[in-house]
Amino acid sequence: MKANCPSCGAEVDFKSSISVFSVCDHCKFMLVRHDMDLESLGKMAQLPDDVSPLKVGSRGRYKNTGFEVVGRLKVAWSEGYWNEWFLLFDNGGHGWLAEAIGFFMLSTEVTETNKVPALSEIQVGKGYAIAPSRTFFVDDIKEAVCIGSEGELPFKGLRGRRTTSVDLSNNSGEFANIEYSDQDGIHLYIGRYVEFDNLELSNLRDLPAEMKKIRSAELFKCPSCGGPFSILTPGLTASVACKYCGSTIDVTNRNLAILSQAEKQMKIRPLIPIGSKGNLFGTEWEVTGFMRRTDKTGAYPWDEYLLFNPCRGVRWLTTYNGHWSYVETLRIRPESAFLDIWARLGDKSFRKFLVGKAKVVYVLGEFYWRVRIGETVDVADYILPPEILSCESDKSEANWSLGRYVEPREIELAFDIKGGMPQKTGVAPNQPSPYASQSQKVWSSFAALAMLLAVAQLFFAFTAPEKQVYRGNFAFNQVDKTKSFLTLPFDLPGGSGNLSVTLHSPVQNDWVEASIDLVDEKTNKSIGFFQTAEYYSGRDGGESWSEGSQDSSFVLSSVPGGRYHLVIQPFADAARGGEKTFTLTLHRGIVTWSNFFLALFLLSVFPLWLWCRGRKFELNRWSESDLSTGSADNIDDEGE
Amino acid sequence: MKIYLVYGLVICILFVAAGTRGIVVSSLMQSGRTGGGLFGHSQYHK
Repeated sequence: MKANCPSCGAEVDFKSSISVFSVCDHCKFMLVRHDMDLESLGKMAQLPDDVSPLKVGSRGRYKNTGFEVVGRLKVAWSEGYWNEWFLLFDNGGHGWLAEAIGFFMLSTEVTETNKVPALSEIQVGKGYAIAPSRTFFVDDIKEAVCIGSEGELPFKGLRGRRTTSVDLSNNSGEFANIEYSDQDGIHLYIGRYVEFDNLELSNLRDLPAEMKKIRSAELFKCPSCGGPFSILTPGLTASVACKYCGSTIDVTNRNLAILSQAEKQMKIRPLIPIGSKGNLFGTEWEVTGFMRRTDKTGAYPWDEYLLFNPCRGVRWLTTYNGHWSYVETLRIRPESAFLDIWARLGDKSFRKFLVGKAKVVYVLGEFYWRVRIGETVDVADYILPPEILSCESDKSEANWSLGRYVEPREIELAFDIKGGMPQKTGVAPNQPSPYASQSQKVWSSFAALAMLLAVAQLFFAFTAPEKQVYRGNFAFNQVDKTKSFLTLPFDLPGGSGNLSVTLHSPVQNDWVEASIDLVDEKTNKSIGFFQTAEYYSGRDGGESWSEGSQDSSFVLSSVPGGRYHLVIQPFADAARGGEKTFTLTLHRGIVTWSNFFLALFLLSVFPLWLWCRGRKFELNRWSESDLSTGSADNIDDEGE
Repeated sequence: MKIYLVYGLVICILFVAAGTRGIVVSSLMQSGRTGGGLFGHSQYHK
């Protein structure tokens, strides 16, 4: 419907049939549609500028249907702002694109609201079946007030319009919002979190060009020290830390209340200065805030940098002991599993690593909530290196975030940090083990090589030409000390091969030893060795015992084939006297396993070394955990 | 990783070479005139 503005006469075009409210582009008067007439409700105050990439007139696509942004409601709550963009789809449908700190939620209104509980029944964290076969959990409850609107809207988007907004989500990535209003009743919107890039948006604001203008538009004065400051991300920033005195200032209204004051002696110079820009993971980020936090003892401080990109929203870079993580706030609530020791996100399971408190001790720059020095939240960290899942909660809300370990070199390059990065100390909770992935490959190689060895060994075992080549019985008396034996010649078949020599003597609490020379008849070269059979047994304290053996074997390595004889010099205990007997048996080409086990041992040295290093790495990691009992059960050395 | 694979293959080749030539490494380690004596009587009697 087209009509003329009753204030300035300019043409006002209502693109959507359900729109009843519009702000005239020319004179900024608020207009209400009554059939074909327009009623003027007075002039809309200047809408505060922000860093949203969208504008009325932007186009996009969702589920293969094009849409146009036809209106906007800018809403404020106690901790900041968000935008509600009213969409008109090409098929005549309507939707809302909520935009808050870089998150986009696209929803449509659900007319069936009989399952929506009364506001008094709503509790944060509790689940409600507000839609068929779907339960949503309450993320937060906000008192919202409209601070301005533009374009056309399906209701009166007057400045000062108050509602209670309840955000809900489930672990399927769905989002719901219930709006309770005295004037308009209950409205239910259900949709999904969407990625900016997936909306195929066009006709966006030229933010790089407009950013300078937006930022220089207004200069504020710190109410504590009078130091001047401007806001890097207007419309997003809720609090600013004065760089002169460290006070944190509430910038959600023009009163500029002091939220907290920094300890006077504390002055920290962030490694990455506020305002620095860097390209990390394909996106240009600007550092807009810096925060130092500690545990409850104050002994373990860590730093957090707030990064901002107009289209991607905000991210965090956290650093502790020279280790860095890139952190993104989650839109999906992880599930708790097995006595809360595990948290499950999608198909990944994270193990609880740490439970404690995080207290803000120093801030610089600006933040999207009203940050205060001393602000303390409960923290629970779950790890699956290189990722870390963190839950920060207080009485009113629980925020989950997912961090990914980043090598300091990447941060150094991205933000062009001069003077080097702090040295890494210890093992970070989510630091990937340098041994885990290598270990897996090495053990796989070990398995393949061991298999190869086993096949070769089995081949040798089944094809061994084992054959007895000599057997002789001998008797001697130790009294005759010069007694020695010369055997008849015998043949060792084939080329080079092993030769097993077994001496058997029926000794009882006695021993027999033989010095044996294997003499090659052709070359007269000999191989000499000793063989001893000794066997002792008895009863001691009512129990029988024995040690030694009546048999003794020895394998000669790589004996060339040919004709040989033996020269044997036997020995026995001269004190015992009497005749001793023994039998000597020689086998050619027997199956031996010692080479196989030796090779297996040599193959396993490196994988075992790697495993030990990996184990030590994990022990170091878990030594930082307050949930570690020091047992191996706590160690997940594979990390996935 | 590659070094380990090469090292492993060398071990396998040496194993096969030893097997085909009847070399028993554990026997080679027992040098000279020796045997399976339990209490070392050979040393005592020489």
